[in-house]
Formats: sequence, C-alpha cells, structure tokens
Amino acid sequence: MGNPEKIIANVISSGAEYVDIRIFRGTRTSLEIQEQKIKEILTGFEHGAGIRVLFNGSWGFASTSDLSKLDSVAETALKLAKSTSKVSKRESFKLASIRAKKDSFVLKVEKDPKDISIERKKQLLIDVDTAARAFPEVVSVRAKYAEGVGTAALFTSEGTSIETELTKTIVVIEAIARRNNNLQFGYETVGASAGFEAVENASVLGRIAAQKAVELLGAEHCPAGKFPIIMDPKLTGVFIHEALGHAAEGDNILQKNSVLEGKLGTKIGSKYVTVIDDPTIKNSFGFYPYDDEGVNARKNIIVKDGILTSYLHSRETASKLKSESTGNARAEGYHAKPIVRMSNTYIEPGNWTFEEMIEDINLGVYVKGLRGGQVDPAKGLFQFAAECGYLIEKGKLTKTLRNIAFSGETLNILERVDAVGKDFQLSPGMCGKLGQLAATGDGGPHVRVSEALVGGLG
Amino acid sequence: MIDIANSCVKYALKLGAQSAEAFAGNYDVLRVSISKGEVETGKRTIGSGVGVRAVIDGSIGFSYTSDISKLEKVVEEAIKFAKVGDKDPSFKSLPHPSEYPIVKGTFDNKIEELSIEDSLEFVQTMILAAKNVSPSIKVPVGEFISNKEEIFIANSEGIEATDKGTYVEASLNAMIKNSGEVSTAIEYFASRKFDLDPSLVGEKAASLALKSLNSKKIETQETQAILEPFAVTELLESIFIPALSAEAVQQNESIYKNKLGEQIVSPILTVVDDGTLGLKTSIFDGEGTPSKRTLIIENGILRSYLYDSYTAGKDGVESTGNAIRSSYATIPKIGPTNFIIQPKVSYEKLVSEVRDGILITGTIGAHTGNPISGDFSVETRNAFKIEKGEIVYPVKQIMLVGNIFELLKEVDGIGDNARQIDSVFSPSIRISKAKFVS
Repeated sequence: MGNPEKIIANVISSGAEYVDIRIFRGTRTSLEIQEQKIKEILTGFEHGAGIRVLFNGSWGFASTSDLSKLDSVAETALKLAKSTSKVSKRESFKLASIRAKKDSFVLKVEKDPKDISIERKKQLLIDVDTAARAFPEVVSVRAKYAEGVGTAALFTSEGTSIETELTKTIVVIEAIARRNNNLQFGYETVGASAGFEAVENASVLGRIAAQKAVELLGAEHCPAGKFPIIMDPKLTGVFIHEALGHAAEGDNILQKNSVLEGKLGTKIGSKYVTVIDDPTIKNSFGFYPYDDEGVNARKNIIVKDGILTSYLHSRETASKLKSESTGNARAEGYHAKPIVRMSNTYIEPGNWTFEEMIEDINLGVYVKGLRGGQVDPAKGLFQFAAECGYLIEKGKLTKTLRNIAFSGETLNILERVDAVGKDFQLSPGMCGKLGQLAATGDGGPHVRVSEALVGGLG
Repeated sequence: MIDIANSCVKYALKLGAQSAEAFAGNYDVLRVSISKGEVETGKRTIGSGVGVRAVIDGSIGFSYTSDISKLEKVVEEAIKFAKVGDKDPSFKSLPHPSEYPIVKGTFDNKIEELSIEDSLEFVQTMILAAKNVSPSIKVPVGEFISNKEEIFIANSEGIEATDKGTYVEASLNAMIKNSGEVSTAIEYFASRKFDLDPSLVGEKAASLALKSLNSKKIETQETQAILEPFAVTELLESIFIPALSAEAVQQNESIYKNKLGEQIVSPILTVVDDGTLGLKTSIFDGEGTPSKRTLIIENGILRSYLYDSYTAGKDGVESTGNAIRSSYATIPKIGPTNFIIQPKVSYEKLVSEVRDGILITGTIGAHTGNPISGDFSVETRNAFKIEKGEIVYPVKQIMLVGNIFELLKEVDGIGDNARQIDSVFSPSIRISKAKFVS
C-alpha cells in the first residue's frame, strides 16, 4: 500500500484544492435460519480505498478494492475532477472549515462478536424461532443475525487523520402466520452499535413478531378516508426520518428538491414538534464519533417547537448554504462518496400519556410500525404502508386493522400534530439514498395527528 | 481469475467439502452525475473479489473477499460454516457442465473504450435536451453510468466458465414549477450497447414533467387503469415475481403453490423469462447453469416457477437458470432474468377503448407491497385522466391500492409499446377495475 500522506501531497501539488483518502478494512458475518435450520451463513472480508479530489468546484472520486493501487486511483480521481470542472459551470467553493484532527476511536463492546462461537449465534436464532412457534398458526419463521466490525481510516489534505473502529450487531425476525388462504407477517428487529450483548435477548422478540402476525390474521381492512390518527414510536420515527429528515438534508435543499427550502426560521409544524438528529447517542444503531469527513459528531436540532432551526450538512452543503458542517457526511463504504445522511432522528417526547391521547377520539386509527415508505421531498409528499393498526372508536381501541396506507403532505401533518407522548423508543433502520445504505436510528414517542389521510382496501 | 476460482474449489475439496464453487468478478464502473442542472461529479469504482460456497451434507457455507491475500481464509471460513449448518437431504448437486447458449449484443467495445470526456458529453446533451423542451425546466438530478464486468465461475462438478458484459444506463429527473405547483418526471434508459440517445432521455423526462402541470384533483374511485411500463416493472418486481420463485413456493410463502397448470391471471397474459434476450442477458446464471427461455405463464395459466439448482433438485426438475448473483459478495438468489410480457394490441387502441379511466406512468413505494398476501398501496407518479379514449388532463396526488394477484386477473388489454425497465420487458397493460384513493 502506498503512503496516504505522500499520495495526498502529490495530488495537491498537481493543483487539487482538497484531497481525502478513506481506507476501510472490515468483516461481516450473517446467519439466517428458517424452519429451525440454517438457511444462509456467510462471512466476508472487505477492504479497499476511496479517494476524493476537489478541483475548481468539481469533485472526482475513484475507489478500488486493490490497496496496492492507491497511486493510480488517486490519479483517476484527479483526472475525473479536472475533466468535470472543464465542462461544468459550477462555481468553485471552499469546504466549510473545520479543525484538522488526529484521533483514534475504538467502540468498546461488552461481548466482542468474534469471541462468541458461531454455534451460540445459531442457538440464539433457534430460540427466537421456538419462541415464535408458541403460536400454532405460525407457519414460518425467519430469523437473521448479522454483525459487522470495521476500521475506517481517514486522511485529508488538511492534516486530519482519524481511525475509527465500530462494531454493530442486529437481529431481524419475521414470523408468518396462516389461516386458510390468508397469510400475514409480523416483523421485529433489534440492533445497536454494540457487541453480542445487544441482541442476546432477542428471543422475546420472536414471540412479539409471532403475536403480531397471528393478530393480523383476524384483522380487518382499514377504512379509507380522513381520520385523527395516533402514530406509534416506530411509525413516528420513520415518518420523521423519511418525510422531514430527508427534506432537511443540505444536498436536497441545494438541489431545490425539498419542501423545506427557504423555510429556515419559519414555522413548519405545530408547537409540539421538536425534531433532533443525534449521532452521539451511545450504542445507538446510527452512532458515529466522527462523520466521514472527519467532523465531530454532534446533536443537531432540526425543528424546535415547530420552527425549522437547522438543515443537515456536509462540509460542501454547509459552505454553499453559508452554514457550518453539522457532521452528517456519511459514505456506505470505501467505494462510495460521502453524502448528507441522517444518524438517529427522532421527535422529542412531550408530556401526554397514551390514554390521554386516545380518550377524546371518537373515530380514528392507531397506526403502528412500518413495512416501507417513500417520499417526494420536493413536493413534501409521503406514502407509507404501516405494519398494523387498530380502529379507535369512542376513545377505545376496537378492531385490529391491516393494509393501512398512510399518505399526505409532510408539513400538513406536522401542522396537525396536537399531542406528543411522554414515551420514547428508537429503532434500528437501514436508510437508502442515492444507492447508498446507512445505518440509522428512527424514533420518538406516540404522536397524535388531528387529521390524516389513511387508505386501505376496504 | 479463473485460476483463482479453480484453486479455491480444489482447496475446499481438500479441506473436506463434498462439493464447492467459486465465483469471481471484476468490475469497472464510471458514473457521471448531474446536480442542479450541471455536471456534478465523476466517479469511478474498480473492484474485484471472490465468493466461495462449500457444501457438506447439503449444508452450504459461504464466504467472500475483496482481498486476494485472504483466499485461503475465505475457503476455510466457508468450510467451517458448512460444518455449523444443518444437513439438508434436499440438496442434490451443484450444476453440472452443459452446453451454453450463444448470446449476442452483451459486450460493446465502444463502452469499454468510453472516456470520461465521452461520458461528460453524454450528460451535457441530456441536460440540454431537457432544457430545450421548456426554458423553465430544471434538472435536479441525473446520471450516466457505464459498466464493464467479467465473471468467472468454477465448481467441483467440472463447470469452468467466464462471461463478460458491458452496460450503460442514463437517467434524468426533470422538474418544472408553475404558480406554486411543482411537477416532476423521471426518464431512464439502459442498454448493453452504447446506443442510447442522450437527447431522448432529456426530452422525454422534460415533456412528461411539462404535461403533468395543471393537474386536477379527482375523487376516490374504482375505474379502468392503464399501467405504463415503469409502473408494471415496479409492481411486478416488488410483489408479483417473488411469488413465482420456487423457493417461496417450497417454503409455503407463495399463493401459487400447487397452482401449476391452473389459471392464475388474465387469459391474455403470456410471460416468458428469457436469460438470452434483453438487458439481463448472460451466458449462464449465478451458479453456472446455462441461460434459457422458460415459459412462465401461458394465456393466464401458470406453466413454471423460477428455479435455481437447489429448488429444482428438490422438485425433481431442471433449473431454469434463475439463480441471480449481483456480485461475488452475495449468495445467488432466485429472481427474474428478462421477464417478458407478450405484446397484444396497439397502444393507441389500448387507450382509445377506455371510456373513463386513469393512466399511471409509475409508482412510488411498490417495495412496501407484500409479496405473500399481494396487498399493496402505492402513490402514483404522473397520472392522467382518460375520458372517451383520450388522455384529457393530469391528476393530482392519488394512490393506487389493491392486491396484485387480483389485479392481474383484471388485465383486459396489453399494448405493443414494450420496453425493458430493469428485469421486466413489458408494454403498457390495462386493468378493467383498479381502486384509486384520493
């Protein structure tokens, strides 16, 4: 492997304004069981490097899985930056300034996954499966365990050199229940930036996933129309991540691809809404000590009492929007260029109990969990499919519902938030953006919306 | 690389594997992306690696690496994992050598030789074409990708094969604002040859965004619908095709279990999966099985599932060559190659027969659909109202909800405007009754 500092110096001497090199080495292991048997078991050893060059307002980026080729990859990145700058009318810019830093960080874990035998990991999944099968109508259980340990080194032409080692573990459970032709599934997940200790009690979740699937067998289709709704913490988390968080990303603002463009300092939601993005939460799935540009991770307040207070930034978007980096530049791996990403995003809890929220709803829907979601940040539209829910009638949960689609305009929903619970839950998630995945946490309390569009098949 | 693959297989057998396979790949991808109407960045990714599957008593261990110095370790881990796994008497064998088809048009020297400057010019032409449609058109994002790759596979049954391919993909999002209304549209073309017209990508995205302006709100209704190819791909790939996987069937997770020979969808639907014809063409699949043409649905009757070697062995049939491998780092999974829906009538006729209906260009959120139950609920992209056979006006935000298995029974027309989006090669299809929620 070439010397990163020397390679950086060479590229700078060829006229580049800024260069960084990220070198990654990591292993990941995953294990999946189905019908109490191992369905898939794998381990991978990845290494590689990505080099980013800024020249006259344009980026060039090149990566390789062959660490002996750092020199030629650096040349490719420089050439890409120079060729692009020739044809692009983009103005040159200076990255938002930060203090160069030399540091090394190792996430301390209680139970290092590499000290836990593969047999023990298999047994964990079998316990999950057994717990789920306590329900006779459960016909299939899938449980997956995954761990990843990676060391990322960052070198920049400004003198930063940071090495970070992180460990993540996660268990994902899917239970499928069947009654005649009716198949339903329940989904649970637990994950953290931590060792095996984070997942070793996952069998409890096997039972919860199974219970959900079985309950959905008897569920009715959700009525379509406009109702007051209560979102559970999971849905709150995904809603705030997808519908608001993405719109607050600096790159989306610059691309005029956000309904929040030009709205800093203005009211975008009811006074009950405070939204945080915080990568520093200990052991959270979205945890990191430095972002992939070497910026110190910090807690950012996106919305305070309904007022939009901050976007999320990389050094580039911060510079172009005359702000400072919020430490949100993240890359999926050495082969990807850092882009603006969320970390752990949540609505801050308020002071309502669930009972208080539900008691004055005459007819409404309690919407829980999420099967998936998508959003058009430019229009501020979102569309989610919830995992399950309940009909609320005269202040009580009555029927179980399935096939709940929840859609609308983000700002409209935020404006109609009229009660925020005092509970709190953060769930692990994988967020996809521009072809890159990032580990995130999404969460919040129960949140009530006075009116929202709910769809279904009924 | 084929030598590396062979030596991994040999080493695995030496360590006690009963059968083994090594899959190696090299890739080189160049992307030029657009941001805010300007070329933003050039990005090149070069990679290579090896993935090894070792089998002991039907238990399969898998390990991969991008670090060629770790080849022995990779084989050892695969063996270790095969030993931890459970015996599986359903495992018959990895594929045996057999004759490979001759496929054409999967490698283009022009793509191999494409320079950074060529890619930049392509992107600039796309942007210009979009802006030529209307001066108010903005291009928030877009991308041109060119890719070349080589793959190598060797297994203990004697398979030793290589394939190489090229691929280009161009996409562009156009946006236009008019008195508070924002209209967006996406266009996307892909090819194995360097024969894409950059102007067409820009023009089509921009024209669609423009046509979608001045949209009107419509009420919740059940009506006839036309799904354009994007919408067909999105719905089928996310919710329908997974139910045709032999794996889903064998695991009791498909509604189509025990339905071979039965009418499952509208009798006007005929579908083949053909690994030798289209964007996803290759000589062999991710396990070295020859690519082939498989009749999946004939006039609405289910004729075959999609098989890999394992599920085929279990059902006592031949693999259909549908083990899809996205890279050396992944285990092959059952999926479509080129999933081709046979065209029927002219597109004009398809539209002109609609008295009252909605045309949707694409969907948002099809991945939230449930492939087990078939239920879905998606936002539509660029929807239009059709009245008396004419497309009359764009429609505001509306959701399409339903069940894909039921929806496909309601197909009452198929056009002739077939194009391939990802794996699905389909014309527009018409549904006699679909539910839209406003």
